[in-house]
Amino acid sequence: MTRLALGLLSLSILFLLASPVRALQNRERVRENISTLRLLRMTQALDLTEEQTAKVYPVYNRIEKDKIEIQRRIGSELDELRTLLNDEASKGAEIETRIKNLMELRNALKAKDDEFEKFLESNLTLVQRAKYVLFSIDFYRGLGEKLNRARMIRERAKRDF
Amino acid sequence: MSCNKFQKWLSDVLDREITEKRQQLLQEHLVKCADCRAYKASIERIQLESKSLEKPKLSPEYWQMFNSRLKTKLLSIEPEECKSKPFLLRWKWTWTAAGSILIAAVGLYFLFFQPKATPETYAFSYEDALSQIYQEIGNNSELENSFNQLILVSIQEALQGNLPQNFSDDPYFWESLTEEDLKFLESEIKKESNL
Repeated sequence: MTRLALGLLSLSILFLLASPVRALQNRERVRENISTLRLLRMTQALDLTEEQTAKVYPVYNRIEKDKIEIQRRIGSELDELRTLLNDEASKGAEIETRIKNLMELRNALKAKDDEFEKFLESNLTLVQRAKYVLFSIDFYRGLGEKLNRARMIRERAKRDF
Repeated sequence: MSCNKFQKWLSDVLDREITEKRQQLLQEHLVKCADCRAYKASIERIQLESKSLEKPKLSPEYWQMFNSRLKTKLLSIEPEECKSKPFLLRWKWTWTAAGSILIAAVGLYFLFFQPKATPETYAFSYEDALSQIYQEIGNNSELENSFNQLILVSIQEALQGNLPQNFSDDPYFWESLTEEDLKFLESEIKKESNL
């Protein structure tokens, strides 16, 4: 990895750590860590050039931040929807609005992913695009494997104590 | 090889219809097998005694009658009975065929009736993959923390390009410690810090 890439990455991480994200809930923290890991691994797997790194990192960080915000709103809308369903006096129109909002947010989340992939499409070579597809599959599978390892750690800890 | 086979070869020896290689194998077997040696002695004795028997003197009329009796008998046999056993029904071929059919049947079973292995699921969407992870974690905060620790270690590995240099950064290290180990560490740290 080039110096510029490392520099940009360090800046990105610092930016993330220094931002109000630190106050976010556990889940968002995990999400951000996964996002950072994805970016790092992607840089290595796709063998991004300095120029590409300089383009990709800011876009990636912006889109991920947008997605975190969307996720936050989804969480809030879901809470509202649960409350409405538990309240017998709630009106159908309110429920309808929440459902509509949730569907829109879901589409917005997907649109962000599409936006990033379109951006990559226009900035990567054909081979890098192919590598990205394979990298994505490996990375997502790797997350599942990490979760299994985490489970094993928990089980072992429970057994020991 | 079974004794039956060697005993058949012993008959062939008497008829002088055995190859050199078989003869050699037979000799080696006879050294080891008392049953076959006894069998050999008995058939040699029978052959010797049969040679000493006088040949019956038969008249030419007998042979003439014998030929006609034989012809009559052959003609009375149904054509099907005259035929030798079908090729595939000879015992050794029968077993071979049965074995082949069995193997083919097992092969077909595995080919068509065995449940197919579950196809590997490929996730193409980052959000879908994350959703799946979150769903599996659920409300288990301990699992979430352990998972997060592993992600952090991976980030460190990716940044350094190798394993974590500091063992204390490895979650496995902490997870493997018992309560006593932790207390011991705490006391040692306090000692060192003069607390």
